[in-house]
Amino acid sequence: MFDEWDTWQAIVRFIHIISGVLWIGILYYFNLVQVPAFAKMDAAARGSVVMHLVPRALFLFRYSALSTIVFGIVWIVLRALELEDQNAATSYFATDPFKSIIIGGGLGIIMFLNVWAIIWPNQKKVIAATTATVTEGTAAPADQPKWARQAFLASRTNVLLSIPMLFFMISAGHLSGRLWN
Amino acid sequence: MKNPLDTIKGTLISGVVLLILIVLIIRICVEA
Repeated sequence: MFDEWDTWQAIVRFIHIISGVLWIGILYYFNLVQVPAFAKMDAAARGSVVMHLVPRALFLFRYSALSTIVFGIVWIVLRALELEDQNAATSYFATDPFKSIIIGGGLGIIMFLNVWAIIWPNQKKVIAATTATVTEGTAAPADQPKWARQAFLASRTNVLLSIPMLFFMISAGHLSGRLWN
Repeated sequence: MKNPLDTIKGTLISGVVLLILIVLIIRICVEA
Protein backbone atom coordinates (compact mmCIF):
# COMPACT_ATOMS: atom_id res chain seq x y z
CA MET A 1 0.00 0.00 0.00
CA PHE A 2 2.69 2.47 0.95
CA ASP A 3 5.57 1.63 -1.33
CA GLU A 4 9.10 3.01 -1.54
CA TRP A 5 8.16 5.60 -4.18
CA ASP A 6 5.52 7.02 -1.83
CA THR A 7 7.95 7.12 1.08
CA TRP A 8 10.69 8.99 -0.74
CA GLN A 9 8.26 11.41 -2.33
CA ALA A 10 6.58 12.08 1.00
CA ILE A 11 9.96 12.95 2.54
CA VAL A 12 11.04 15.13 -0.37
CA ARG A 13 7.63 16.82 -0.55
CA PHE A 14 7.78 17.66 3.16
CA ILE A 15 11.27 19.18 2.94
CA HIS A 16 10.33 21.11 -0.22
CA ILE A 17 7.18 22.56 1.40
CA ILE A 18 8.79 23.39 4.74
CA SER A 19 11.67 25.13 2.92
CA GLY A 20 9.16 27.00 0.78
CA VAL A 21 7.17 28.09 3.83
CA LEU A 22 10.34 29.43 5.45
CA TRP A 23 11.38 31.20 2.24
CA ILE A 24 8.01 32.85 1.56
CA GLY A 25 7.53 33.62 5.25
CA ILE A 26 10.78 35.58 5.39
CA LEU A 27 10.04 37.20 2.00
CA TYR A 28 6.65 38.42 3.28
CA TYR A 29 8.28 39.51 6.56
CA PHE A 30 10.82 41.64 4.64
CA ASN A 31 8.13 43.29 2.53
CA LEU A 32 5.22 43.61 4.94
CA VAL A 33 7.12 44.22 8.17
CA GLN A 34 10.75 45.23 7.76
CA VAL A 35 10.52 47.74 4.91
CA PRO A 36 7.64 49.75 6.49
CA ALA A 37 9.36 49.59 9.89
CA PHE A 38 12.67 50.86 8.48
CA ALA A 39 10.86 53.93 7.18
CA LYS A 40 9.86 54.80 10.75
CA MET A 41 13.09 53.89 12.61
CA ASP A 42 15.87 56.32 13.46
CA ALA A 43 19.35 55.88 11.97
CA ALA A 44 20.87 54.25 15.07
CA ALA A 45 18.08 51.65 15.27
CA ARG A 46 18.34 50.96 11.53
CA GLY A 47 22.10 50.49 11.84
CA SER A 48 21.62 47.99 14.66
CA VAL A 49 18.95 46.05 12.78
CA VAL A 50 21.09 45.92 9.62
CA MET A 51 24.05 44.61 11.60
CA HIS A 52 22.31 42.03 13.79
CA LEU A 53 18.88 41.09 12.45
CA VAL A 54 19.11 41.36 8.67
CA PRO A 55 22.11 39.01 8.15
CA ARG A 56 20.36 36.26 10.14
CA ALA A 57 17.14 36.71 8.20
CA LEU A 58 18.99 36.79 4.87
CA PHE A 59 20.93 33.61 5.68
CA LEU A 60 17.74 31.62 6.33
CA PHE A 61 16.10 33.36 3.35
CA ARG A 62 18.66 32.43 0.74
CA TYR A 63 19.34 28.89 1.96
CA SER A 64 15.65 28.05 2.31
CA ALA A 65 15.26 29.32 -1.29
CA LEU A 66 18.06 26.97 -2.39
CA SER A 67 16.57 24.05 -0.47
CA THR A 68 13.11 24.68 -1.95
CA ILE A 69 14.44 24.63 -5.52
CA VAL A 70 16.71 21.60 -4.99
CA PHE A 71 14.02 19.47 -3.36
CA GLY A 72 11.45 20.64 -5.91
CA ILE A 73 13.66 19.38 -8.74
CA VAL A 74 14.37 16.13 -6.87
CA TRP A 75 10.61 15.65 -6.44
CA ILE A 76 9.96 16.12 -10.17
CA VAL A 77 12.73 13.63 -11.01
CA LEU A 78 11.27 11.10 -8.52
CA ARG A 79 7.79 11.50 -10.01
CA ALA A 80 9.12 10.98 -13.54
CA LEU A 81 11.15 7.91 -12.48
CA GLU A 82 8.16 6.44 -10.62
CA LEU A 83 5.89 6.62 -13.66
CA GLU A 84 8.64 5.13 -15.84
CA ASP A 85 9.16 2.34 -13.33
CA GLN A 86 5.47 1.52 -13.40
CA ASN A 87 5.49 1.53 -17.23
CA ALA A 88 2.81 4.22 -17.25
CA ALA A 89 1.10 5.01 -20.55
CA THR A 90 2.44 8.55 -20.66
CA SER A 91 5.60 10.08 -19.24
CA TYR A 92 5.18 12.36 -16.24
CA PHE A 93 6.21 15.30 -18.42
CA ALA A 94 3.08 14.92 -20.56
CA THR A 95 0.65 15.03 -17.62
CA ASP A 96 -1.55 17.97 -16.62
CA PRO A 97 -0.07 18.30 -13.12
CA PHE A 98 3.38 18.72 -14.65
CA LYS A 99 2.09 21.58 -16.85
CA SER A 100 1.01 23.41 -13.70
CA ILE A 101 4.24 22.56 -11.90
CA ILE A 102 6.47 23.76 -14.74
CA ILE A 103 4.78 27.18 -14.65
CA GLY A 104 4.87 27.40 -10.85
CA GLY A 105 8.38 26.00 -10.74
CA GLY A 106 9.54 28.30 -13.51
CA LEU A 107 8.31 31.27 -11.50
CA GLY A 108 10.02 29.77 -8.45
CA ILE A 109 13.32 29.58 -10.32
CA ILE A 110 13.00 33.22 -11.38
CA MET A 111 12.34 34.11 -7.74
CA PHE A 112 15.37 32.04 -6.69
CA LEU A 113 17.57 33.91 -9.19
CA ASN A 114 16.25 37.21 -7.84
CA VAL A 115 17.36 36.14 -4.36
CA TRP A 116 20.88 34.94 -5.18
CA ALA A 117 21.76 37.28 -8.09
CA ILE A 118 20.14 40.57 -6.99
CA ILE A 119 18.85 40.65 -3.40
CA TRP A 120 21.75 38.91 -1.63
CA PRO A 121 24.68 40.62 -3.46
CA ASN A 122 23.16 44.06 -2.90
CA GLN A 123 22.25 43.41 0.71
CA LYS A 124 25.74 42.06 1.41
CA LYS A 125 27.12 45.42 0.27
CA VAL A 126 24.57 47.36 2.34
CA ILE A 127 25.41 45.33 5.45
CA ALA A 128 29.15 45.81 4.97
CA ALA A 129 28.80 49.57 4.37
CA THR A 130 26.43 50.04 7.32
CA THR A 131 28.74 48.04 9.60
CA ALA A 132 31.67 50.23 8.53
CA THR A 133 29.64 53.38 9.18
CA VAL A 134 28.47 52.24 12.63
CA THR A 135 31.75 50.74 13.91
CA GLU A 136 34.32 53.02 12.28
CA GLY A 137 32.35 56.09 11.30
CA THR A 138 33.13 55.61 7.59
CA ALA A 139 30.85 57.73 5.40
CA ALA A 140 28.14 55.81 3.57
CA PRO A 141 29.17 55.04 -0.05
CA ALA A 142 27.37 57.12 -2.66
CA ASP A 143 25.93 53.96 -4.24
CA GLN A 144 24.37 52.62 -1.03
CA PRO A 145 20.82 53.89 -1.70
CA LYS A 146 21.04 52.33 -5.17
CA TRP A 147 21.96 48.92 -3.70
CA ALA A 148 19.10 49.11 -1.22
CA ARG A 149 16.67 50.14 -3.94
CA GLN A 150 17.67 47.27 -6.28
CA ALA A 151 17.29 44.73 -3.47
CA PHE A 152 13.90 46.19 -2.55
CA LEU A 153 12.62 46.09 -6.15
CA ALA A 154 13.74 42.47 -6.62
CA SER A 155 12.12 41.55 -3.30
CA ARG A 156 8.85 43.24 -4.18
CA THR A 157 8.90 41.48 -7.58
CA ASN A 158 9.23 38.18 -5.72
CA VAL A 159 6.13 38.99 -3.65
CA LEU A 160 4.27 39.64 -6.90
CA LEU A 161 5.51 36.40 -8.52
CA SER A 162 4.77 34.37 -5.38
CA ILE A 163 1.02 34.71 -5.99
CA PRO A 164 0.81 32.94 -9.37
CA MET A 165 3.61 30.60 -8.25
CA LEU A 166 1.63 29.41 -5.24
CA PHE A 167 -1.55 29.10 -7.30
CA PHE A 168 0.11 26.84 -9.88
CA MET A 169 1.89 24.76 -7.24
CA ILE A 170 -1.34 24.18 -5.35
CA SER A 171 -3.44 23.72 -8.49
CA ALA A 172 -1.12 20.97 -9.76
CA GLY A 173 -2.57 18.65 -7.15
CA HIS A 174 -6.10 19.97 -7.05
CA LEU A 175 -7.17 21.73 -10.22
CA SER A 176 -4.90 20.67 -13.08
CA GLY A 177 -7.54 18.44 -14.67
CA ARG A 178 -9.90 21.36 -15.07
CA LEU A 179 -7.29 24.00 -15.80
CA TRP A 180 -5.70 22.13 -18.72
CA ASN A 181 -8.81 20.63 -20.34
CA MET B 1 8.02 58.52 -0.19
CA LYS B 2 4.80 56.67 -0.96
CA ASN B 3 3.07 55.01 1.96
CA PRO B 4 4.54 51.47 2.05
CA LEU B 5 1.08 49.98 2.64
CA ASP B 6 -0.09 51.40 -0.70
CA THR B 7 2.94 49.82 -2.33
CA ILE B 8 2.12 46.41 -0.83
CA LYS B 9 -1.53 46.69 -1.84
CA GLY B 10 -0.35 47.56 -5.36
CA THR B 11 2.06 44.60 -5.38
CA LEU B 12 -0.58 42.12 -4.24
CA ILE B 13 -3.15 43.43 -6.70
CA SER B 14 -0.55 43.20 -9.47
CA GLY B 15 0.17 39.62 -8.40
CA VAL B 16 -3.48 38.66 -8.61
CA VAL B 17 -3.83 40.44 -11.99
CA LEU B 18 -0.76 38.58 -13.26
CA LEU B 19 -2.26 35.30 -12.08
CA ILE B 20 -5.60 36.00 -13.79
CA LEU B 21 -3.75 36.92 -17.00
CA ILE B 22 -1.75 33.68 -16.98
CA VAL B 23 -4.85 31.56 -16.31
CA LEU B 24 -6.76 33.40 -19.07
CA ILE B 25 -3.94 32.76 -21.55
CA ILE B 26 -3.94 29.07 -20.61
CA ARG B 27 -7.72 28.83 -21.04
CA ILE B 28 -7.58 30.56 -24.42
CA CYS B 29 -4.81 28.24 -25.64
CA VAL B 30 -6.69 25.18 -24.40
CA GLU B 31 -9.95 26.21 -26.08
CA ALA B 32 -8.21 26.81 -29.40
